[in-house]
Amino acid sequence: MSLEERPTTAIVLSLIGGSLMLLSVAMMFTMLMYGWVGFGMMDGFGRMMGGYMGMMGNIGIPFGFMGGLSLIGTVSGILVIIGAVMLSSRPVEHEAWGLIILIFSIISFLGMGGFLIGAILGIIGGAFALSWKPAAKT
Amino acid sequence: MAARQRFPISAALVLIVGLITVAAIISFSLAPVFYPTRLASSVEQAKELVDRYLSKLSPDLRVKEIMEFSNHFYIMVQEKSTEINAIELLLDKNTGTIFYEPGPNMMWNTKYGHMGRMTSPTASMPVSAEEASGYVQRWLNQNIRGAKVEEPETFYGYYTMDVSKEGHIFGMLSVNGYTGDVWYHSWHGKFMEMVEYE
Repeated sequence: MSLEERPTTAIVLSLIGGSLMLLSVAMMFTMLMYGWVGFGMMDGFGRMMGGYMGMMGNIGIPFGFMGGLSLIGTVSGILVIIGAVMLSSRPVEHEAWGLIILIFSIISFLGMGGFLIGAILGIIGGAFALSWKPAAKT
Repeated sequence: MAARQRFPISAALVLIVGLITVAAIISFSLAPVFYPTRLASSVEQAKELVDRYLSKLSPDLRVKEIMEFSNHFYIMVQEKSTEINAIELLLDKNTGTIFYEPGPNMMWNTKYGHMGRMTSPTASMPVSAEEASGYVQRWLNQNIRGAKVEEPETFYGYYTMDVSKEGHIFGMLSVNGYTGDVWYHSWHGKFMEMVEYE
């Protein structure tokens, strides 16, 4: 196997997926800290903003639980990116790092999953890494 | 040798550490065993916790009112020196955690809020308390039949007022002192009890 030979598609998809996971978590933290999410409803004299999506108990989810989900998203995003980087530097170990990308992409669904798209990209990237075969020598 | 290459020690370590971390986070987030449960089961206990919290925050702040809701305790905090309402806090009943109330308290509070504090914050605002009450009553007439607005409480940048129905408080609304925007506090749950402090 040549040095240049890498599962490029798997690496790119996993990197994008991992980055989206971290981005979604950053947004989730912002919402938790500042309560930025509201439902706008205009009426004659002003704006009525009713409720937080997943905030502080109005739908029965405590703050600590939401923070925990954000942490899971963070850990998943970091490990998917590590998996992608290792896949790039050690393509011979593609099955191991592909499995790690796959597992933590699935786990990331608990923590927003990179707006879902990130998790899906990570799963596809992990599957590609697992099934990747270096080109046969001629 | 081939097996080692397929799943090297570094990958195994990353996998194990990652899974343990996720499991630990889920355990700490969900399992009641990790919470010091029922730290604040009464208004008196909530008052003690908030007094302790405020003593670290500023000597000029005191508890003016505590309301117990099904989801948490709501605490109105006042400045001793000016007698202007300063901040609104929430206290988690299960963990005893105190945090700034989201919503108007964070977004509209021009002195203690998180979004653009004024250099010279004032409780004197273009929208008067009477106008604010009027806005709320109009909104209530349109959305919650039979509901009535109670006396407005003035904060830096906005007003907060209780709303009642047939003489019983059931919720709370805030009105921006500069724009007249109305913000319903939908996160409290069912109202249970209120204690005011002199």
